[in-house]
Amino acid sequence: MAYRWLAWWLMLLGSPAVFAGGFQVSLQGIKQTGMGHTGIANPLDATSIYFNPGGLSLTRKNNLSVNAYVLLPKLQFKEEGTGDIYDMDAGAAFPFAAYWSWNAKQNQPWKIGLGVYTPFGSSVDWGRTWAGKYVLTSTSLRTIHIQPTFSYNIKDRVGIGAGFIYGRGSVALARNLPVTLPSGLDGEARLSGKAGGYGFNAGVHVRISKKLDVGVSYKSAIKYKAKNGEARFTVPTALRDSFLNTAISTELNTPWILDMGITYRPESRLAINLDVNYVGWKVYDTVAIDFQENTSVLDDIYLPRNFKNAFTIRLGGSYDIDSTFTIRAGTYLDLNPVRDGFVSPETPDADRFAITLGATMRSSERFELDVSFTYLEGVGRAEKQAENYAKLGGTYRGRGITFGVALNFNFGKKNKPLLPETPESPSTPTTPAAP
Amino acid sequence: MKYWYAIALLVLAGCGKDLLDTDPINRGVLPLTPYVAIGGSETAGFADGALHFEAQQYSYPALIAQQLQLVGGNSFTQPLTADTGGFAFINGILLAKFDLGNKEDCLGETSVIPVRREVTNGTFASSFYASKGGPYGNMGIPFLKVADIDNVNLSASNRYYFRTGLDSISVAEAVLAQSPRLFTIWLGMEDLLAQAISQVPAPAAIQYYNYLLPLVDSLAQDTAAAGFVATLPDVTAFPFFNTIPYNALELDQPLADALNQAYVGQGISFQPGPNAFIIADANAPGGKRQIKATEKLLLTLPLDSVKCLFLGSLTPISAQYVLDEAELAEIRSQVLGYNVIIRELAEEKGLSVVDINALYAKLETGLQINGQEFNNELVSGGFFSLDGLNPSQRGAALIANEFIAVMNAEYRATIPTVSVVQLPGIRFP
Repeated sequence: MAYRWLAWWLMLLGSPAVFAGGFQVSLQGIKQTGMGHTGIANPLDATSIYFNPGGLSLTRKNNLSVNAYVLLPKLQFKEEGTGDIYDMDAGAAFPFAAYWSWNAKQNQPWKIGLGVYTPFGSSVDWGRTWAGKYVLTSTSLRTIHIQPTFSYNIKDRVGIGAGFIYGRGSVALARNLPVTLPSGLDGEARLSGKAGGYGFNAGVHVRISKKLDVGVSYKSAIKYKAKNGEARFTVPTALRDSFLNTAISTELNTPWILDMGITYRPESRLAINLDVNYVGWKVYDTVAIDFQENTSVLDDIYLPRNFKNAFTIRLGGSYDIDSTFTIRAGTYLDLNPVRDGFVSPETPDADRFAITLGATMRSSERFELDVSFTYLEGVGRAEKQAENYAKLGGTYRGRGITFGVALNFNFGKKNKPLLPETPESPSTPTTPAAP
Repeated sequence: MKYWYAIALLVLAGCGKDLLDTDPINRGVLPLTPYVAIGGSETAGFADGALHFEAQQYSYPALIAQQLQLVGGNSFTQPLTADTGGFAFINGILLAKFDLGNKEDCLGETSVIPVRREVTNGTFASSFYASKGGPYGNMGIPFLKVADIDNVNLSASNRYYFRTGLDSISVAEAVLAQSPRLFTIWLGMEDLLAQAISQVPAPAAIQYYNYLLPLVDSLAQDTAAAGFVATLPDVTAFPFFNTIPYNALELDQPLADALNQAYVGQGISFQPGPNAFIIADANAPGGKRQIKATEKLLLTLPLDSVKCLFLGSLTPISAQYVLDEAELAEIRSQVLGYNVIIRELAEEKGLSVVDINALYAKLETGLQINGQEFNNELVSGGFFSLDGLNPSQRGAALIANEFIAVMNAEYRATIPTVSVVQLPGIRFP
């Protein structure tokens, strides 16, 4: 039974494409999500394992943070010329992120941690009868990262940290084939593959003053090589010899991400985060699918993607109303990596704007409950038929909301205070540098 | 946790309105009704070698009328057949439509090719007569040549016209009796095809002009009417003339040797592998020669005779199955000439030109629509029906969209086009 439940859970992990640039899933911690998904320079708890391993050693307590989301997307397509509007079948998705951090004694400068999270994913189901059925009917891309992490701080001021990432990825694509079965339905091709990959996540956190923190982290690109994928075809009997079910190999690159953040605390209860993510989508250039058995009609597939690197700009903050209650808010602008001419029903991407809200309730030193809410609005993205790589013209537009909840369990005795009580460094140098 | 989901659904219901506005649709200054389409087989919805219900239902005029209804047009009448295998009269023989089917050849090999459905008398009788003699918005008459537009006795020679019940009036009269405010004309295809398939000479360009002029002139009398006239494609590019390769004569070493002996001293030699067929040519030495790579074989070539009775090798293929270089050049120059006339007539009478020729020309390199490629191949090319001459339903949609694009451009209309890939495809067995 437990196994069945797990399988069901894994099936729902993919995040609908509407939620982030490309197929990135910007839902890695409920506290951060409440603040516009910022926190590169604001170490709060074990979630720093994802956001900035450098900040992990500056967090107070040993912590277990379990974050779960519900995503409710809506995506529409209006075909050029006909004006026909199609809705993507928008089922809910449930990405998650779990982190655990630990050190042996309170005042040791190091911390170890383990993160398990879903950094990239996309799940789209347009159905089998829509206008783009020969381009794509459904796709699902899932990745899960397992990241053991070590972080060390120098005098509570500079934290450095790095984690090794083992990723598992799976991808499935389906489209109709323009051959008509005796029933009048289209034929179908379904491709799928699974693979593992390796990478790292490293970061530096610098506590410049009591009021100002900066952080930088870098998550490497990861190459997934699926060697034993499979291609399955539903075609009329007469065409079976031309469409043999066969093994396929394919490769998928997930991009590197350079995260930079500043956190400013004008007073001890208020934190304001400004983050910039620069995502190296350029690695997602082509999807190449190599069929082990080619036939006269079945050549290897090269799908041009031609993504460009893209920025996301995020602003968010938190305010501690009292020691048991914190509220959060934020906003972000997610600039999409897809060039004109390459907008596909698989990643019908557009620049997106989001507002977020969040809160934390502390029942004790040992337990915190976080909640978050995101409202995300994409601009309409029109793609001209004449210029589209698959000659599928039309306008895509997406919108979505997410709800998130996290349970945080803190271990160990009362730790270092949230902010270091070391005296502030002088704001001006005492001796000017010799000319 | 369940509450979250409930709240989520509530919020989503609040923001769950449509994201995309529907496109504004408007007829602009285009008069919509009555709409009459004038043409030949393609216009009538003759496809898969027969006039049949499904092709009529999705004939390009029916698709245009369907889109016009979205902006206020009236319903459209066609002389529909019953939903059976349809019918055709080829050389006086009654036939039903082609389906893709399994057929065993003389060597016992089965392959999937267009096969005629069985004709049963009962289904034929029920589908032959169209009701009441019109009026029909679709005045496409299969095999209608330009010379017959004014023929009041057309019923006697054209059984498709006979079945419409339009007795002793000409096509032109039946059209004009409806006082069309919107009309589309695509005429000349049947003349070009008759020349290419049956060596019946098509009228010269100037005659073509003279045949068309009276009808166009009368239609254009109504200055408030909108007229559209389509250009003609190079019919020699159709799959009917391009499916059997000139060099499909596959020989092994002993056969090649045997043929070389048979043709010794005639300047013809054979190699193992693909060879050019032998065709009859009165001007060639001995009355036969090898077909050139630029020449074409018709789809009606009896392939069983090729495979089992040495047609195209020992016996030359007779001229009725061949388009030689001279014939091809003549047909192509006819197409050019007709198209000049079409543009001239349009200019003279204030009609809009719909460049269907340009659409067909795109098929030569392949035309991608929503991930499907349309080209000149039979079956896999998607554009042509199983007869290799007339458009499939998706082909008809592409043609309808060309008309609609011109209507939109010239009459400030925003009529939605037809979603091509949503029409029925060519069914496999």
